[in-house]
Amino acid sequence: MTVSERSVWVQLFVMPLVAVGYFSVVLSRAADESVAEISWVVPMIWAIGVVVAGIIAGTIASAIGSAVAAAARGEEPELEEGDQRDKEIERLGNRKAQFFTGIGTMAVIVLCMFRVDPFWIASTMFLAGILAGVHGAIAKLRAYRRGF
Amino acid sequence: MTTRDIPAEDISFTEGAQYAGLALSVLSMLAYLAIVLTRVFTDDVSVTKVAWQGPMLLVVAIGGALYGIGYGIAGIRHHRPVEDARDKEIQRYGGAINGGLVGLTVAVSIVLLALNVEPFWVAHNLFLGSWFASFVSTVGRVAAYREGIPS
Repeated sequence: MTVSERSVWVQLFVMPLVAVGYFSVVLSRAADESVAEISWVVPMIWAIGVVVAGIIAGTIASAIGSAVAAAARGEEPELEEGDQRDKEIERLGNRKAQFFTGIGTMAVIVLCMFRVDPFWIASTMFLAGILAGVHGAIAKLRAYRRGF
Repeated sequence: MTTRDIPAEDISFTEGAQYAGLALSVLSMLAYLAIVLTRVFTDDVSVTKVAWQGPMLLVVAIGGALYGIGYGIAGIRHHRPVEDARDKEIQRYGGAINGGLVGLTVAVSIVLLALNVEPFWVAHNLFLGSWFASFVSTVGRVAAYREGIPS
């Protein structure tokens, strides 16, 4: 498994977890106070930071883990470099991800037209980003496993 | 043979769609800017209070519908598969450029929302940012058709 494929697997698990975390924090706050007063900015910064850091740390951890497992089985641990195929799969996934970003962008513009509270606008965009990331990751993994 | 000598049939369907899309998207954006900027200067209100919602929806709807109808009619008259492997690869290449720029635009929007600016600016950041992303990715695709995909 190449490093880029590993990072896609990690992304597939990290993104939904972070989304659940973010929404459980802000929606529990929304139950107690009006949405205009919710401090959603700090949870959002944490969420984005955890996605980025989580993917990097998870990729490194899984690479180390599988190298250790390979060594335990008595095989030579190897770190596969990315190649042209990785690059093409990366592009394929990024193109697939546009479906949800497109819908999300349009939804956010419409919310702006109705002057909805920034909390809802930012959360909609965050959700669209997570959906796009997960959708893109699934498309990439399908391409890795079954070809284009 | 220089690029100029290539007869029209040698342009693939998808490449033609890039040129049509480019023309349509530039015209749509010019129409939107013309309407809204006229309102900015003639209506006696601050910029963010201008009625931008209607023109934006109209321009997106009309531009999208024209492209869809044109693509559909051309596709029916084309009789052959619209994409080959090279077209697909170029589509993906452009899509990746688009994805990167849209991601940046979304990040900027979240910052704008965190700073609690007027929804007008959030919507325009997204509108202009996605337009710019699609413009750059289409130009990138056209360049890839002519000069190959940069590796």
